[in-house]
Amino acid sequence: MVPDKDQLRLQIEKISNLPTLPGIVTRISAMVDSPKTTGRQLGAEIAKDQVISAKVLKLVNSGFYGFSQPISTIQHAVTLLGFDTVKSLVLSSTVLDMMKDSLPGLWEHSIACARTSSFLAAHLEIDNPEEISTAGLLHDLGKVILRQTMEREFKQIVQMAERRDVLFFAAEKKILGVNHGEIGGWLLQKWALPPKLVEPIVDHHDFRPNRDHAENTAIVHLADILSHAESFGNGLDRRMPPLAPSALETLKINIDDLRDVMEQMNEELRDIPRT
Amino acid sequence: MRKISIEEAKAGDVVAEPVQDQNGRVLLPVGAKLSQAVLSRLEGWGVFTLDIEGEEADGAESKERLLDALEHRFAGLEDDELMMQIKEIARGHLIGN
Repeated sequence: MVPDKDQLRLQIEKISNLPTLPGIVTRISAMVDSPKTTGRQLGAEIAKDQVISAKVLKLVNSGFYGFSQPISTIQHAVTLLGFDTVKSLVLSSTVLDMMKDSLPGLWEHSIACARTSSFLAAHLEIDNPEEISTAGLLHDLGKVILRQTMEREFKQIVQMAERRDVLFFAAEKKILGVNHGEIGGWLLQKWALPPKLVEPIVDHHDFRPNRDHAENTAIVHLADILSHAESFGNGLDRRMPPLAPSALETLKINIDDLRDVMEQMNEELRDIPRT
Repeated sequence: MRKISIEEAKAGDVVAEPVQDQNGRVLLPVGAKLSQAVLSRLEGWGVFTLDIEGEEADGAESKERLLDALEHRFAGLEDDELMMQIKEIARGHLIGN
């Protein structure tokens, strides 16, 4: 029997403090949401935690944000990137650790999708592509949450995807009635991340051109598909997710643009193992 | 040492990093040899990847495997012209690397 969607959402929201999620994520989140917080205070709070600071700086300098100069201090990152992006970076650096050991290929797939999102954003000359890259990075967060919180259902989904040779999200839909995009989105909403970051994650398998942040969603939708096509990780998916032609229309691009982006992936993502 | 998914694991492979469950309980210690019985249980334990002894597969072998996986991913989409174009670009990249 497919569980009730509201029940499921409550269950996910209850675990908003995932075991592996350190308190700093919640503290930073609260600080960013307070209008009284200054950049200096925010930077100082992050800098207190050396492990998180190092991870955030590593992530900022990892290439997918495409800064030409290295960013060497947290304070610099806060000034340059703004509060929301720094918040999502603190979250991402933590979540990435969870992803590393969570599912085969998911980490590689997530990094590839983040960087491909930024290639697409640059190709389209979109300003402030950091949020799109972050959405690309976190698009499969729901799979990690599922694995951590609903082990029994997760196993059923893995088995169904494998035995029936169907996409992971199709098996999720059958067993849970929702897919990992929606599940990841519930948690990100709980963390009060902005809709333009959350919507692309929720809708990455369900692109609709009339949504508020359709452009960002179209980019993550395509970056996910191109990453699968170019063999960058699978996160337990062995089939291609369907491509919504309306995503190409929304971005006013065609196969020639996709070819350019895929060439760029092939050149610049050599450090990510194909799986 | 190399990381593999449990589908790739076979009897006789030797564990190079402890296999743990979600709570950090060690299920298989370093040096354990995988048996058929263990292999069939891994998924039930919630284990999906393993670090095993040995080197990465050589270039030609892994390229062959990647090309097979590509064919499988796109199987059934033959009538979708756009997807077939994407597949051909990706295939060119795999062969050229």
